[in-house]
Amino acid sequence: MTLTGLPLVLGTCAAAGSAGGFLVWSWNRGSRRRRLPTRVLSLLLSQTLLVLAVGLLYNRQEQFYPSWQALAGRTGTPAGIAPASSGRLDASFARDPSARWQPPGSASWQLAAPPRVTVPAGYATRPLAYPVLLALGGRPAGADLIEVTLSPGGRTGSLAALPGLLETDLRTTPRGWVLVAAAAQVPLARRLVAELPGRFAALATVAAPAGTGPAVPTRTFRTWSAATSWAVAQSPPALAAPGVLPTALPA
Amino acid sequence: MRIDGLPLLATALALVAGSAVAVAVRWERAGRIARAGLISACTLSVVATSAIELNRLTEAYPSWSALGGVQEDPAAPPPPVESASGPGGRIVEITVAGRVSHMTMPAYVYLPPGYARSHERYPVIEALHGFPGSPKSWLRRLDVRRHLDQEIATGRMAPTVVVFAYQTPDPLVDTECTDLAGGPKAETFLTVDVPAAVRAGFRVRSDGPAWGLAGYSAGGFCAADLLLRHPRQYAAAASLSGYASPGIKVGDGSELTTHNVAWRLRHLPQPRAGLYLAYAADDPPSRRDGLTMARLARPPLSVTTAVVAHGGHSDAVWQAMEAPAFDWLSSWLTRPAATP
Repeated sequence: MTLTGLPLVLGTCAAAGSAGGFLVWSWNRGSRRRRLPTRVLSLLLSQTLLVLAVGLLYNRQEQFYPSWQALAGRTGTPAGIAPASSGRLDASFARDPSARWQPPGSASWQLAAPPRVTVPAGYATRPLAYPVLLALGGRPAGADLIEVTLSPGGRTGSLAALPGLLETDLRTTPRGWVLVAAAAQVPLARRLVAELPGRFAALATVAAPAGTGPAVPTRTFRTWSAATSWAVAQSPPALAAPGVLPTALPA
Repeated sequence: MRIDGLPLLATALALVAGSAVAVAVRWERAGRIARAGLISACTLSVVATSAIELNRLTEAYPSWSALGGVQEDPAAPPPPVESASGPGGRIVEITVAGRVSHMTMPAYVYLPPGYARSHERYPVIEALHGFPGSPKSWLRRLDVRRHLDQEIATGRMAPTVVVFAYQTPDPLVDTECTDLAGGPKAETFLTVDVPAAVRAGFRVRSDGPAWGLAGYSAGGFCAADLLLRHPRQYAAAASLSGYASPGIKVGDGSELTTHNVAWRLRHLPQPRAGLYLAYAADDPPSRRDGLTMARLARPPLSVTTAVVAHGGHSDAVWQAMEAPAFDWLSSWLTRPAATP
């Protein structure tokens, strides 16, 4: 019998009515010694069944507790923990936090120097996912995130493939990355933000305004250090794999 | 004796039993007026007991003063910290004097472990209750402090200040966090006065990307609605068993348009923000609305869905949802930082 089904609701209403009827019928019957406990018990039973019937009717209408399982507080869905992400090069960077990173296809970026990747202290021991600071033409900040320092050259084209490659190699967050760009690299930074919507949380430029257009919070600073400090503060924290529930729609 | 405590409920049940005994014993000797009194006592005791248990379930009136409609005095010193024991975070009570909304209400603030020793400014989540309900529902029914402590301790959530504010000045008036025409200005209270009070009283970040919203049931609608209406002020919202429409009349017809999440998603540009939609599979209204909102969402709005198999529209469902929702929110908010 279901909690919100008509049989239970009607049955409880009928039981409440019967208990009320018995209360009236038995009120003056029998000796006083037997009458008193009968009165008390049948009155309490009538009241209980009446309250129960009202509660069942209301619950049937609102579906607060659609099943006995729900009423017992059993959801049947314990929160799981998302699988801890791991990067292909975690072991290399555990040995050397500034290990060489030269993913396949990186030659096509035509950078003036190979990308320099630095993982934060504790990367090897803390199984966290880290946001990324992408520095276009500057130096690392030494913050609690993964830093990628790039030296774009005059012929450097799109860097849109870089985040995907880095995601495969290291434990990065899927969003909340920040960009810091030297004056000459502002157009490249703007293009990157536009090519990867939702990836970057902020763009800091040094000595050159970013202009209008980037769909992320943008600020201009005089010094590289001020720009990186602000950019790091705009990123999310490095976090352990989150608690998760099953999803309704594909991600 | 607390209004939502077991002793009061036990006393009420004793009165039900006592009045039943009194009716049974005194019936023959009582006159007409006395009999009417006995029946009234019997009925009233049952109604009162039911009301006490309903209030225990919803925390609509979390204290006797709330039942009496006593307004908080904004100038009064804050009451003592509610729960400061143990190594976890603590909850403090503040009074938000609504200078813009003219709603003056208490609110509760979760301060994460390490807050007192730190000099950083923290991200903030505004957590909204259902209707009927009160912020105490989060604290007592959903045991939110334990969940927050656990998620922060395990590193799944960053240390965050969480604010539990009222969405109505009258437990019988459902505002759905809107400015009701001719009524309470709950939206203004929650988006102007509460943030101002929190920024003034606590070390929190003031920038929008550090602020998020969470809510269950009516509070879930509130979270989604306020996110879409104030995307510069909030970066993300978690709606637990929330709806796509307020289900009330705001007074200006906006429940069909600008206060309707589904309408906004269909007709207005969608903001760059995150929206977490969780529901129980056996809760048809919030399941239907959750799926509708998820299907209507378009980039740059990012939607994550979460489904609990059973539980309907109940505390057990929200308890199952709250830790994953807080983890998700934390990944959308900026980190604790020294910057203002």
